[in-house]
Amino acid sequence: MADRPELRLAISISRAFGGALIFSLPVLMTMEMWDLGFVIDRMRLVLLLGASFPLLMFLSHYSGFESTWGWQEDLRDVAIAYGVGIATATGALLALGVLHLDMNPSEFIGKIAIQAIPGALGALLARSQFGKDGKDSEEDDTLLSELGVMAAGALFLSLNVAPTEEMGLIAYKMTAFHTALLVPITLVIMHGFVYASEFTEKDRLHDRLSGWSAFFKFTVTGYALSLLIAAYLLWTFNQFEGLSFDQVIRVSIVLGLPASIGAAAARIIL
Amino acid sequence: MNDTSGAKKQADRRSGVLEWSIAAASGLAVAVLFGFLLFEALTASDAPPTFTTHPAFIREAGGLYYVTVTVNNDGPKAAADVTVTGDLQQQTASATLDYAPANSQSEVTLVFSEAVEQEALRLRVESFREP
Repeated sequence: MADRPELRLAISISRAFGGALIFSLPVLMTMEMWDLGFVIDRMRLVLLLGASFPLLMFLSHYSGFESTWGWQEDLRDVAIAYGVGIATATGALLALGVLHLDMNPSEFIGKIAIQAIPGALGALLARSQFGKDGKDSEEDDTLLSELGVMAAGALFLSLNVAPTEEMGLIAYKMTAFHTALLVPITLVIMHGFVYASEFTEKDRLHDRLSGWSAFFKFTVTGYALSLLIAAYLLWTFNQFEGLSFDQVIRVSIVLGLPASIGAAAARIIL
Repeated sequence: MNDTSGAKKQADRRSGVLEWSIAAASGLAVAVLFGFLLFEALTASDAPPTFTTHPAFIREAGGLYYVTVTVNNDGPKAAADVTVTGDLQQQTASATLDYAPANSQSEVTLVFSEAVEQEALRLRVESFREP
């Protein structure tokens, strides 16, 4: 049965829809994301769409569904992922009464475009996670691919909360002392994940890296990357509007917590 | 054996074509989406939101007058916290829209206890802020 290619395709597309829903339902049900659909600066939205493309291409290549063998297949899978993301966002927002057919096209398209990105990410990850034939990505664990995996994980956990009002609110509630303390706390939690992943990949990593070099290579690098991604998302979602420089740093460190935990966990999951 | 492997190859090809067709349709959707947004980004104007208001309809129930007001933002930019006020001889009522997207139409309802005559009702947008 599973040998029938049409059936396999149908299953993998269904998985993609499942992944898109799991990944994007929280943002589909977030008010700030609806409003961003028309409030967001169009250049930033275009940039976000553009930036998501190389990340999706990388993910498709790294843990591609049905062990992809070339860039054409990656491109095809990424296109399907975007298509599934767009369809999921449109369907869900119509069903939830957020989108109306008589809305002006700018608002309609803006609302879909911003939600299509988490959907596409989810679609691609689901196709690769459930459809994986064995671990096909082991052999080329370069630092770049590690960073790509961590970037996907950081997005996974931080996209859901990045547009919410709570980001600024939490940053206001935290004193400078709280913020300073959050940095080592985040690093310790991250390193816990990095350490755990060394156990699962013992043979490959443990021999090569001492505790400190793993800390610097994965934890510190991953944290820096997560902070960058957090700051980028906050900027994209207009969260830096009117903030002073120290507040910008503070909000980034707040969003950096979910981003870096996502990044560290992704190394185990992906 | 030859027969089944031939049939399998054909099925493989069919599903390959199907998969590429889905990919092509998806790619087209993305291109349209991206093109539209890019066009909007490049043609974006800095003009502020501009409002027009007019009463859509008035109904009376239980001694109260409900005036549904259509609020048009004719500008190319969205506005937040848009306050719409209606003045009668003796009463004032106001309502606030969280957002009024660019080139869009929204509705608010103002409630009065004195009889509303359309000619006497003065509507205006009192304030808004940049989102």
